[in-house]
Amino acid sequence: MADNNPQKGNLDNESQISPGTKFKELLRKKEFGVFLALLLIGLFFTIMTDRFLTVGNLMNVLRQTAVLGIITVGMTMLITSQEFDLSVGSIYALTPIIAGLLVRDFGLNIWVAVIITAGVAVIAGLINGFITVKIGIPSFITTLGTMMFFRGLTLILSDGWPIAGLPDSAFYSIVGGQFFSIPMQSIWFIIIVLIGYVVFERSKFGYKIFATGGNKEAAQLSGINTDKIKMICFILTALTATFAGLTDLGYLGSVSPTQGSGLELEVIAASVIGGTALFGGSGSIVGAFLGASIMGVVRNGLTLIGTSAYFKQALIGLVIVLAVIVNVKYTSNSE
Amino acid sequence: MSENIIEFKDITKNFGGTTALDHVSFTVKKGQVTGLVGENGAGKSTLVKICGGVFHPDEGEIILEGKKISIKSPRQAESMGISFVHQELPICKNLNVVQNIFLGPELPGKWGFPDKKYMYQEAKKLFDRLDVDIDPHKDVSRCSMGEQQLIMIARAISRDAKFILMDEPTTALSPKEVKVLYNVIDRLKEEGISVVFISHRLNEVQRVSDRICVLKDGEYVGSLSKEEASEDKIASMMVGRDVKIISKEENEDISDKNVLEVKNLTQQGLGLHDINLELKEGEILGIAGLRGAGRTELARSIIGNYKIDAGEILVEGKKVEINSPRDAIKNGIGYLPEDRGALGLFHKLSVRDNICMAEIDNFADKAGLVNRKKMNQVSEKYKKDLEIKMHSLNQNIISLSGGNQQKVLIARWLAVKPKILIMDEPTRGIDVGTKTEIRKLIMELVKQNFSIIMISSEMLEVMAISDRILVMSQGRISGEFSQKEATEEKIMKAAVAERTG
Repeated sequence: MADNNPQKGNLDNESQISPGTKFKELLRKKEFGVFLALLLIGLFFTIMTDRFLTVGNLMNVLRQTAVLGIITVGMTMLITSQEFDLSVGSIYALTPIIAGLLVRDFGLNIWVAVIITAGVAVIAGLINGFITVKIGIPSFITTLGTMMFFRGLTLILSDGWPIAGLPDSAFYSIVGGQFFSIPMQSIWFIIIVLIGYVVFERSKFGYKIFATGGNKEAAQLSGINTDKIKMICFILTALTATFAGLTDLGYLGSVSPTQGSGLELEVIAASVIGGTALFGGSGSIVGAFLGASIMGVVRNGLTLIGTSAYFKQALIGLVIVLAVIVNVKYTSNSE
Repeated sequence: MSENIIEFKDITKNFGGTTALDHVSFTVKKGQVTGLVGENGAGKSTLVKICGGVFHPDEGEIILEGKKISIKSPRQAESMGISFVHQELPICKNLNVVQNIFLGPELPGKWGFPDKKYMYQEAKKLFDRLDVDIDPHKDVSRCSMGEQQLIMIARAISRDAKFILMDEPTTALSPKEVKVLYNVIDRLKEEGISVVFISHRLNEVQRVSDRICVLKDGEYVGSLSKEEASEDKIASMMVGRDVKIISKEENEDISDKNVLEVKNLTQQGLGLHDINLELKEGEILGIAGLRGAGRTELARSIIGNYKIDAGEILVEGKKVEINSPRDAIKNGIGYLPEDRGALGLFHKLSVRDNICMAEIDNFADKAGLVNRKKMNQVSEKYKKDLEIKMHSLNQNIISLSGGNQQKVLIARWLAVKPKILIMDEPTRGIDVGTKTEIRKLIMELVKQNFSIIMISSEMLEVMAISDRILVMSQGRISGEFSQKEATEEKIMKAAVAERTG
């Protein structure tokens, strides 16, 4: 395990001797590696095309990254607690589909539908959590199964058709509209990151996630209910996937039962780029935000310079690996 | 008469600003056992890692049988005749004994098919040479720690090892296995193989070594021959001052009140039978016994890690239901585990977070947000009180030495303030100086309303600190002595007591 591999404390990012200046302190932050990677990538696209570094485009990137970023916040907590969730892409489709059906076929108010949807998310998280924590199946397998199950359920419920043309409601402008020409989706993204930061890195619940994922036995001997912590992390992850799905419903006014396939891997990639340890015990929300942003910037930048879709796919794969290498190297060098 | 097998000349190794080894020179003679002792951080493990090619010395040279060598990897070390036996054995648990002995690029056999019969016979011969009895067909997963070490030694001599480094080889062994190891070391000597024996247990070092070398703070202090060496002498060389195992005066603050009573506790699966004990307020109750006597199992049954089959637990006279360590904490019982790494430390977190984790709920406000200032204040207090050596509270816990890590874990419990603290081998794997500090601390704690159960395999420690001593053997309490009555002989007799009736 990682026991022999000194990593820095995560709740506080400084290590060793406290640095003299603020700047040095910043350099010691473990998120600095990802930040550096993001900066370099940004610089590259700024040089390659003058359409990249504009307020409009950056705003656009933030909106496009919102779905990925929101789920990455939940996933980062879950991975830090030493579990995975591969079913987020399916939940991201399932819950808005249910909301859409409730409105379209049952005539429910969309806000009521949203609340019911949140309930569905909690149940989905509980299912993942129960099978993993109480029955003891590795979460990788559990959520691989529920990924297929939830996707199938989505297709059954929707009969494979997208849902659109729902009655007008304030929901769409609040969740997916604009606020002084800032896309609401990006505002929600920032809000979720801030909430995530407080919950994960400032609250006692957050500390318990680090303890649970870092050393489960020690956490239990310290009186922490590790099963409960993991269960809550599963639920929070399902809730972020649902929230992301609802913001898309608000923005697009429609939902497709096939949306979000493959999203789970992008989310895990973003989280890992952001410095989350794959085997738990270490992670950060700022890192998650930066990790998701790297994915978004690369996708946007490549589109702007006119890369073909096939190339784009391959290049994004390369960037993921490179970003993780930069991050890992930076982290180990600054020790 | 005896030639040098390996010679270290002026080995220096720096890590950043700290010098781990400072011009260390010493030689190992052919067919001799050299004991290597020193406090934690004295540079023993750095030296071992240099021999294994994990680190490269900044200065100095290593001379093997008259030739200057440079070691680049453990595999290269093995090919030169240097082998290792340490706590984390590079052994394949999914294979059997023979397979492990011969594992490597050159498996005996033809056409890529290993010659199983030949390997089996060779393994048998190796074990005969060592005078040990291990079935070569046995799966390694079913071998004890001691047997696994013997397998590694057999592997070493099958590769014509000239020099075997043993780093804390006895830590995980039962007394019986230790005796077998002594025998094997004698055999190795007869065959002209040199051994370097590193251990915290000075009596063991003294027993096996022809010569004992002492390191302190990265420097070579000197050596003692077998005849000159005594435990006191070695210990004072290690710390540079005279050490005596502290002994306490009679504790008069013990009340008649029982804070903890265990009645007829039985746990079949763990082999605990009908255990009764009581802990008085302000008392240090020592639990002595041999490895495998069931002491850790008893402690972990009391705190609800294991479900008990029968019996009851009373805290301050009231019967309590304990189904998990959480319940134990709620009832005022804390447990400091024996295995720091696996059960105690949060390896990726800072010293501060490690101190505060068991009490994190009380560092949070109503909204659940943690008050870091308060955490810092409390941690700072324990840092001072327990003299925990560190640069900063933000420092990662694993960058501390073993002794200071242990102090952090003790601080974690002090923050929780349980009435009852069960300490399982609190000074295991810790250097001599810090051991004394921790022992003093334990005696200090009972004055601050803690009542303590201390499990320890070091008999002198148990006798020095405890107000009362229980001895366990084969899952039962086999003896009870007051501090005055206790002698090493009496405790040992009870510890090896066979079950009667």
